[in-house]
Amino acid sequence: MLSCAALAVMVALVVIRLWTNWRRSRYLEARRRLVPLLLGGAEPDLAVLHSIPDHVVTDLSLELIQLVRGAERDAFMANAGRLGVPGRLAKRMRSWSQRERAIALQGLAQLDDPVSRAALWRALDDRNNDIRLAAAQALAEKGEQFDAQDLVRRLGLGSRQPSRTMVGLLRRIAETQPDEIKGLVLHPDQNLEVRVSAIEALSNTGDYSLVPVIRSLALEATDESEELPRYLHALGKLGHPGGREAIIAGLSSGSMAARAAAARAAGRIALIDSAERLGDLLNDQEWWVRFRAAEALIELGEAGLSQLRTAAVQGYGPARDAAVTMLAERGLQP
Amino acid sequence: MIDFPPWTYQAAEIVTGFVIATGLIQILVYIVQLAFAGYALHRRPPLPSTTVLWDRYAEVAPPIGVIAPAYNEELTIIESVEALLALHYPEFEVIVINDGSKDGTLRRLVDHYSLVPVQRYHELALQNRPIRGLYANPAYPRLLVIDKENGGKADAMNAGINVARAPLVCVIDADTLLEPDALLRVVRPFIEDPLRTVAVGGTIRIANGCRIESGRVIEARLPRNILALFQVVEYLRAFLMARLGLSQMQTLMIISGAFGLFRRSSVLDVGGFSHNTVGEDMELVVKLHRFMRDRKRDYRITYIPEPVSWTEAPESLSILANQRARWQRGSLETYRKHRDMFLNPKYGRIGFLGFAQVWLVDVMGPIVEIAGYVLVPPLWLLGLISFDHFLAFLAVVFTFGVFISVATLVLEEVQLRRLKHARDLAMLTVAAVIENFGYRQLNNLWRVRGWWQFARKKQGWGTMVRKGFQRP
Repeated sequence: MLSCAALAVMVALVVIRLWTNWRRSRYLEARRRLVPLLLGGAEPDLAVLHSIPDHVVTDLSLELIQLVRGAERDAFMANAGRLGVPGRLAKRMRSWSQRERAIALQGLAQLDDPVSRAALWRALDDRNNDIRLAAAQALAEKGEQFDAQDLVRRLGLGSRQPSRTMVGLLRRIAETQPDEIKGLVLHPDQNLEVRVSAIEALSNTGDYSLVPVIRSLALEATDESEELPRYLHALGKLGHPGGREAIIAGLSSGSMAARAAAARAAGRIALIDSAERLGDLLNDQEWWVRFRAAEALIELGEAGLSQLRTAAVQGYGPARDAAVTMLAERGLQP
Repeated sequence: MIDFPPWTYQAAEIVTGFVIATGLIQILVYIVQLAFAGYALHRRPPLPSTTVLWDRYAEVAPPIGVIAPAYNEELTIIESVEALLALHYPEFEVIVINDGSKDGTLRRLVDHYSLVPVQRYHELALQNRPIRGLYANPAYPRLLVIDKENGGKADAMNAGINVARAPLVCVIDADTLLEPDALLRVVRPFIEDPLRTVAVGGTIRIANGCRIESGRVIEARLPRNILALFQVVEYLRAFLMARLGLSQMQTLMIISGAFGLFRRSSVLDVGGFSHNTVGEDMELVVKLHRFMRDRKRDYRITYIPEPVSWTEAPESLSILANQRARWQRGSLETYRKHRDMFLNPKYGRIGFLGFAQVWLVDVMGPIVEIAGYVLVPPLWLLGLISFDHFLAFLAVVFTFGVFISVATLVLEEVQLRRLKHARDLAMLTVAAVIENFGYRQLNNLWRVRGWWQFARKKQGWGTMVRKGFQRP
């Protein structure tokens, strides 16, 4: 009985597929007629377009926008606006189907006009978290101004599992509104994950005013904490010697990830006075720490290289192995 | 009519009842998997285009080391490596491991890419046969070739993982064809849930019959060979129903060695791929479960259907028989090695659901089914069991078998629609029905052979003669 039912469904699906393939061929035919009209670049004749279904116009307009950059893209976007693509996508954002809304949102993210932006802002209150996040990403991409605290609340950032997408979003906002993201770091009651992500996002901006804050956070963090390596990593990326105290402390942390991050940061900032400690770390029991320490010593220049050469000649065991191989890998004289 | 003593009737009914009950429980497990798979497919986010994915993930996607072990791949290695180097992903390194090939695999790589010996400081955390040399060329910064003594696939993958410096490692077979955006798609769980995700598996599809150019599947077609066609149905069932369903239940027990993405540090924590098994891919996933659960860590091992890789399926009975016997041995070896996890409350749903599934489908399944074929029809012919019992057995074997296969196809068509032509769909439907009459029984016979080899402690992989992908 069950297998007969499954077979009947399957036969029905094959028939439906024949019908959808027929519709698909009509869709492709309509596309073929539309392509030259849109590629011409000039304003398309609406009367000619009348015979082409709306969804074909929408799909092709979005595909063309994705394909090109610069003036051509602007022309395609202007055409899409004239053909009512943003309005149709905004309407689809009211669909009950989450998938339909997500597809419409992907389209809206490609466009740049008031209707699309308004629809994206409305999507920040969508009942689905992924759609809210995607809308925020699209708006950040367009350089829209956010109230960061409000955004954190609306997206529920930090209340779920940490995500790299959050870092990407905050990084994008930090490009145009660094102070808003800085506010997230400095807010006293901030969720830890949001704060760490904000720090990571800001480390790309080269805003040195954050160095004292991150240094204090790093010094206060426990060895086992997940965030300590991320603080040290951010200090390294900022590349300011103000982070020295935290980095030196990090070199002696009980956490492997923190020691490795601190070694990397020491190399990036070129903390010459860390050379000796980095030399000691060539003997660390963890390979990653030895590797990062050797890398950092090379980045320190002559002071580091002499430590490395000493380890290569006079050292023993893992330290010697790390020093000899790293020098050879970088094509340096032992 | 022979008159048997009364106890023989009872014994025959018990045996038949056991066979039918085992079959019914298996079917129930499949139906539950099907339901979970359907739910997962319904809930999955829409497929963004590669451009959208790139815009979304490029800045936050962690580097990946692609580990490609190669043994006697002289004929195809350049095409495979070219395809790997052309993958769309922001930061990745292709590490090809020449596992002591007897042909000119290394020579071809060295000549084609003008590679020179290099030194690289690398970890020795995992056990592997000695590395003879590393080769690279600054003109191809994404390519590193490891030449090592032969030690088998697990050994080669361990060597690659030791040398890799990326936080994520993608293990593949050298002849696996990855779709250009496969890495960008398979990395999604590591971006969206980076702390908990330790491993992700993607879909493997059969490339036989497809149009392939420069290591890329240009047009998906069904194979003309009937064995390969049956395997298309099998793979669909294995990935779309079983793995997706089990992943949704958080009890995924295997990520195929032909395409899987792992957090490198987690692989190191469990000692990498084991050498003493032919089911090293399944065993690695079970070790990860054990390690995480022993330490009471919150973690995720996930399968997602979108990232697709393609592989060549055997088209001859003897090679297919060897492969299936080997897979069976692999499952049994993993089960034996970790049997203390079975029904152990300490391992939660892995012990109760994951291992119960392995026990039912992989350990008991083939033996009980073959026993059913051998015993039930004669028992009925001898009048030891009723016709109702015999019918029940046939229903369990054939009717439900057809249902599960066709229902998976329904799921594929409703949710994914990856087959281009209605004709292909119809052909697969026919294959899904007729595979239950002959192929399925043969498959179970091969698996029983795997059981026999396992019992006799046979080691090794046997031979897999590749026909080579169809080229224009």
